[in-house]
Amino acid sequence: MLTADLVGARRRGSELRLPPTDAARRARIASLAADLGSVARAHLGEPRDAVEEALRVATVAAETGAPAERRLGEAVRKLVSDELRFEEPVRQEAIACRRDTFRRAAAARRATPGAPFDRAAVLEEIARDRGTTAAALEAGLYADRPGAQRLLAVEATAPALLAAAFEIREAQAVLLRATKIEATVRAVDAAIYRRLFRTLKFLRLLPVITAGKTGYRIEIDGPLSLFQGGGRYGLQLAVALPAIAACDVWSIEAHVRWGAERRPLRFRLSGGSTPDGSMPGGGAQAAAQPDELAAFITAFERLDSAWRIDREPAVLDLPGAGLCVPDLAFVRATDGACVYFELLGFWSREAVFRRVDLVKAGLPQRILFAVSKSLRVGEALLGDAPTASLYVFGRVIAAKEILARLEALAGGSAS
Amino acid sequence: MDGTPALTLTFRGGTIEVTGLPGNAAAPAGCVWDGRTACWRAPASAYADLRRGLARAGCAVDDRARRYAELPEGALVRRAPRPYQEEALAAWQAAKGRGVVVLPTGAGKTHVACLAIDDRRRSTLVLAPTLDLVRQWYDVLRATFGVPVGVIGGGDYSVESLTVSTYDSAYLHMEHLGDRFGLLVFDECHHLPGPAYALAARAAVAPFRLGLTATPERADGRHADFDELCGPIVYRKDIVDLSGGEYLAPYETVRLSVELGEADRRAHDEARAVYRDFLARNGIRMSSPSGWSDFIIRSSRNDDGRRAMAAYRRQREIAFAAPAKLDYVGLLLDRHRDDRVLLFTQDNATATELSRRFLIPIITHETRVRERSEILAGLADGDYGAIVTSKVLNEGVDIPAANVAVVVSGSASVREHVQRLGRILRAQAGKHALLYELVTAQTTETFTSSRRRDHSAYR
Repeated sequence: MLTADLVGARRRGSELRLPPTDAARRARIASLAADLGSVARAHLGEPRDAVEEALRVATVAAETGAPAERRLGEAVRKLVSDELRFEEPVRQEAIACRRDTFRRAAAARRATPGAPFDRAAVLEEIARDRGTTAAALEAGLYADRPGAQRLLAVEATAPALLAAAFEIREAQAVLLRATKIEATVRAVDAAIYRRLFRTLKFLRLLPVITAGKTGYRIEIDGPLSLFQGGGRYGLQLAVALPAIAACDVWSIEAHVRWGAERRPLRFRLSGGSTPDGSMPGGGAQAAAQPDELAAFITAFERLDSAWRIDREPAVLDLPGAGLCVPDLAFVRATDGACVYFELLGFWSREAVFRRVDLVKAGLPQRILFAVSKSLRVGEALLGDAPTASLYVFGRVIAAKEILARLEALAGGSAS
Repeated sequence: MDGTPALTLTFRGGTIEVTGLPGNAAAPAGCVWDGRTACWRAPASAYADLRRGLARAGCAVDDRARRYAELPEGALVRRAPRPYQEEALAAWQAAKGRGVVVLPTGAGKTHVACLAIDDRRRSTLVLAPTLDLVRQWYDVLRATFGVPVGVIGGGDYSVESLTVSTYDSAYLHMEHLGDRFGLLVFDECHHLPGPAYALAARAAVAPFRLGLTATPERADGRHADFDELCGPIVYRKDIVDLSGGEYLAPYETVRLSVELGEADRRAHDEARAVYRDFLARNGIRMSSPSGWSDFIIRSSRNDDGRRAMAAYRRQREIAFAAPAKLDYVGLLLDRHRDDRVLLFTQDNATATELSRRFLIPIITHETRVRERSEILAGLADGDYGAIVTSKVLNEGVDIPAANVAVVVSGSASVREHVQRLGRILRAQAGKHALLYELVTAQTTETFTSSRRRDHSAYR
């Protein structure tokens, strides 16, 4: 991810603006990325210090003299550098070498009172005992420094893709300083919404989602946002951006604190989905499934029951009452009965109460809520609701228990 | 209590949610209305005040915010406190268990914290700035209280009634752990008022808070935030109050001026001229509060500026690592071959150069915890006579055997300089501590040195 200092954002009144990324700028970014990728590949097998210096020199050499060019070069260098894979250091060998050498050097210093420390003689003696040369001994002393690790591979994104995603990368860097985002999103495919909502949930943000005629308006921040203007949630908001940008049409207005004085500014960005449908910084996509959910799915599938898991269920919208974004839907093979499933494993006790209100307001679909014991709510909260059930779990979600509840909710007939 | 339904207090993500208030009720003290979740909300640090306010108003409270426990047992090992430690504890108790105790390094701040934990007997989280200090606290708490001690940070995550964490990890986890501790101990608490670490203090419900430091004052003036985050300074003793042998080792400081060689002098003066010329042409006054940031911004705009920045760095490098200075380090190491010597530098490059040149162990931020421990143990045992470090040993780390410090280079920070002196002051029989400060003559380092010595310990 880019850092805020690598972004050439400018203040215009109360707004913060990124430099426009037109075709010429994209071409320049792609060209820089290609050049730096080539430089990195030419240094395969060399130590990190040498690789980084070569990339730095190449970045400076590629500057055209335009004022914004230096920062752009450094930003591209950062993205290319993030994709370099270096060897793991052989620490124990170097540590043992240092231990032996420094202890013997200390002993030699103490053993010769009145005489100056003879470094060369000490090194020669230790090297001889270790069956090596003084030069090799010296070279091995600090061989585990990060700067000494050798470049193994350049796992570079294609320059054109890196350029295409660059604006989102810059925006993510701006959002590192954000305190709140107001987003408007529209997508044809419900799976995109689900991925977005799941990402926000995974990141433990506090979204307030309002359904519109064609999409959703989402205000995103966290519990502490009420009390301090700092960027406690900046990283989460930045990580969430690719999931927002994956929507067909989207816009954000972020409240940011920018510059050394952390001046409050607004940052706006909008667009369609990323050119190839990919999610730049796709960590959010990969991270969007909590561990306990993944473990539960594995355990449930081992039961080999009549229920099939749909991992991309629809978003449930009860107009005037609110939204529910299930994590899964279970479909019974024998009759097609469907029960939605939502995991409420994190901190939002209020979220549980909102779901209960939604059910009481008449949510028509059958749904099972799995709620972490740490939220301290009782299963009786939903009473005898015929279409919904609340299951409180401790460390793991018990697959057999869920199966029993699915059967109870779906009953004997098809929905 | 009038039998009305109880208000509910719940800890949520570093805040307290208050639910169950009638619609027309006034806002509870310190709370704001949160339309996102339709409840009143306050930062978790307001918990004690909130409880007191609701009790005064006669409200029934279903308190689900507090998850910390009372410790079933106190300390297993009780060592008689020194008089000033007893005074410090009494001052903290008088301030209702909130406040900062200022004691010089080596005076036993950790023992004051153990007394406070024993006094309050609440689940306690100790926050420390480095992994070395986390390790030290872990050992002390386990030995003193004889219970399992949790560790958060450096790849560990275990939470117990007594837990030690780095500030960084506490910042990351306090939103989930802020209800688990009734007492927070902030070691080296001058770190606390930064925007991120302060958040860790605000996201915890702990009614009792103890800050420990030798150097509370911050250059940015944010030490004023102590009142809100952990309480005001309630007790203070400085090095000069305790030195002399009984509590801290007697000490001497020696400032040594070294001259640059002819070629280095020329290179230094040329680089300095380039830098000064840039400042003059751009109207930058380094004595003004914005001088440094002006220089950073302007020097990044063109080649001329970048040359000035390079020149600035070059003249500093020459001053910090003058060959005559490094030669003198060799003389000092020979002179103190039977002592335990700590060498401090401003940067890792100089520390590495000294390690290479004199074949002594180096500790930097890149040194893994296990190797650090081994090196420090080696110094204590006498396997090593000297070690070199840049800044990571500036604070807190307990090295009782060290009796000689050599400040090869450093910043203008009074705090850093006092902390470095503190490393060699822990009292031991017959110990006389000696701090050398090497300063390159006719460079800005002479000015830097004068600024950092502006403390009673150096007068």
